[in-house]
Amino acid sequence: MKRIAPFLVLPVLGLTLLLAGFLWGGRDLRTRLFGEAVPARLPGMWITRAAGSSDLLTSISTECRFTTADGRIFLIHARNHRPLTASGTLPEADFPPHLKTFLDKSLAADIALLRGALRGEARRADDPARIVRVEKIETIHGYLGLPSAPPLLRADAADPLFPIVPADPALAATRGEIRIRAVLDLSDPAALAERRGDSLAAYDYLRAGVATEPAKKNFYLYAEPSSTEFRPVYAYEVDGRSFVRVSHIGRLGGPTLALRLFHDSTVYHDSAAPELGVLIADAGRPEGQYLAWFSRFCEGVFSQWSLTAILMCAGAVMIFVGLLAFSLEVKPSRHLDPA
Amino acid sequence: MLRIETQHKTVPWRWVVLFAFLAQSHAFILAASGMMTFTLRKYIENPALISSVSSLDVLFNVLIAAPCFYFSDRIWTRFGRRLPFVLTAWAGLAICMFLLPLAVGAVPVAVLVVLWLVFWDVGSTFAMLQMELVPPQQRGRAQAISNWFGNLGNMVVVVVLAGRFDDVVHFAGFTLHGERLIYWFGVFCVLFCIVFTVLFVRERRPTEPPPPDEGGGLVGVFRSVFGQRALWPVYLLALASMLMESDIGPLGNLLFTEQWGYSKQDMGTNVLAGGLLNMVLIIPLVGLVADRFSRLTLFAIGTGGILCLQIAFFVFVQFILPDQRPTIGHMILFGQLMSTCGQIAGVAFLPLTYDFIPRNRMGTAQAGLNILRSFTRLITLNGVALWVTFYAWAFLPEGQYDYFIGHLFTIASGCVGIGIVFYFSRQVRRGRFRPVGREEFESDQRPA
Repeated sequence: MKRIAPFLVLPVLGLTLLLAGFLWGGRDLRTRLFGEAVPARLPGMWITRAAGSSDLLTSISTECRFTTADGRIFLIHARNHRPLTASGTLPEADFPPHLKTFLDKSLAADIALLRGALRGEARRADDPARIVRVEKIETIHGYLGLPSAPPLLRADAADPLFPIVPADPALAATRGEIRIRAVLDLSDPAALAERRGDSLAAYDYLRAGVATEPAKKNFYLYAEPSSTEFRPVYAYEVDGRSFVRVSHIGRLGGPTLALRLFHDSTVYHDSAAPELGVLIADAGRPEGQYLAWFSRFCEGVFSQWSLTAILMCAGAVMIFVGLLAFSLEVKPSRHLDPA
Repeated sequence: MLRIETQHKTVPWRWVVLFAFLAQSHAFILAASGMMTFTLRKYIENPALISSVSSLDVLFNVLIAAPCFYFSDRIWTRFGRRLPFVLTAWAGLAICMFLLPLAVGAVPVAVLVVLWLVFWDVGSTFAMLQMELVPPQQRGRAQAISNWFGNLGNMVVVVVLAGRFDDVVHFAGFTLHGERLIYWFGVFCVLFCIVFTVLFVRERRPTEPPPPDEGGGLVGVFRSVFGQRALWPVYLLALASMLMESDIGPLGNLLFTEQWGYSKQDMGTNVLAGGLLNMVLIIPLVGLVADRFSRLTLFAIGTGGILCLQIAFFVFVQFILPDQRPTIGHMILFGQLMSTCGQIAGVAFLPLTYDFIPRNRMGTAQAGLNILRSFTRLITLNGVALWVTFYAWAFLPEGQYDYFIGHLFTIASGCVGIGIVFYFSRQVRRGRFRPVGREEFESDQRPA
């Protein structure tokens, strides 16, 4: 027994890790494998700052004004990152194709990508239709200055700007708006030179009407410091009952790629307890930019299952290593020269 | 009871696989430490200060790792000569990594990072332990096995772990931060290393006497490390390799994200695609040929290939692509080709180096290599940064940088490196540089 004891250490540790992995992720895994799937939507974001206060974002209105080198101006309104047209897309006839590509980069992206896109436009120096100035006004609708613990929430389909409401009427009264205006301008070389090449010509951040200095000069989802936590809010229905929950998976500094705000996802639930639904990131079918899809897919899988996977993989490796070492004791190799 | 021992002339391949698990676990500790920049960034705004704290690594390589290498050649304890350093270092690393995500404030975090760097350098003797466990004629394939595990580990780190730094998971009233997950996974890896080593690894006392102490304190150590002509070919070879391996360092991330506008997730995807190909195809193939061809030839082919591809990529992006912005596909293609050449050079390099090191000078040579590596890294990284800054000052509008131009510097240093490789191989052919390390093992194996 004394001879075998050292070989048992790693397998025993491995089994312990496997058990720990099962305890941590077992319920989610069971619900994912054997629960019922229902479509869900991510209509909001719960944002908690290190100081303790929270915001509940319920919708974003955007106004983008693009100016081309030949002086034409295109104005586009969007809600929740989709253009406010009947079809939800821009009409082909009125907007040049490169503007549509540019708009995709403008609505949901952070300010750095918008800067880059504008720099890319500047490379087409001979094209009079190139965009030289972008003014983007983002209005955030939601509940501001809530306590840090997520409250009970309910859905309100009647109000497109505030489709989620805290169940407590006192909290529901904290409705407010944040308005961010950023102007990126390459049209005036002299002014550009004065700004040492920075295309950001103007930036204002108004929180409930009060001028505020955010941690980063950026749009709302990208303006917070790295200590601020973003947790998606998801809504789903089971047998006519609607549920609104704050996800148990969050991310510091900005929203996760996997659970995209205002996109669809899937909730798995046990039919006996539909209120305990587990939100599972759904990257959708691979289409468009495959590599971006792959990044979203990885983020979804690993943010949900990484600890379970690490515990189980580490456990399996330890068992394997212990058994491999034991195999050398049972059947020594003929390759070893005599000591 | 069976132990994995040093100083054997042939060892079972199962030892090599077991040791690869240990080495990979050790590599995970280093990978987890890659997150320290982000931890420092939480409390320190100034990137230059973050770089200064991180670059203390270079200083400790000289002040701590080099003396540890030197003295580990000259001591003997009942636990061996490398293991006391390794086990002490691992215990220190575990404590630092456990406390790091719990520390609040710039000073405690910086102190823990510095202590971590100190202990990492004390534990650098692990590389020599690895070389003493695997005899020269098995090192080529052992290196390939190790590279395979390394690639797998790298992919796990890039795709699974690195992206978890900012994650927060709430479960049954318990909150798990990704940062803690990563560091404590590092602690787990250290503990695995300690348990495995204590249970299964043993050092055997070498038959040859230790090299004499040169005396003279730190100066004596330096004289001993760089004064021995027998080790000069090794340093020359290492210098060539380091010049060929030089890259644009942290500017590469800025080039990828700021100048080319890709996300960090895309960076992970880029690494994953190449890593998968490496694991499935390239490393097994390279491993098959590693011990069948001259290591010097393989090294020259690998390094020459990297240089040619660096030049091709520079010309392609700078002069062929209209927007001077490669797609992820372009980067995966060129990156994979360079990685293949890098695998060929990498599999050959370490065993080739040890072929030229006398067995009783391994620690001394490792000390010299460490010092050389540190200073070369310091010079190439700062050289690239200075070149990019100078280029921006001379040719670009104020405040704008072209990070890609930094590749010109790496191409230039690669040209110097390839010149050294050709000089080295000529000296080997003429018999002026002899593989004394390999000759010692071969003479041991000859019947009396």
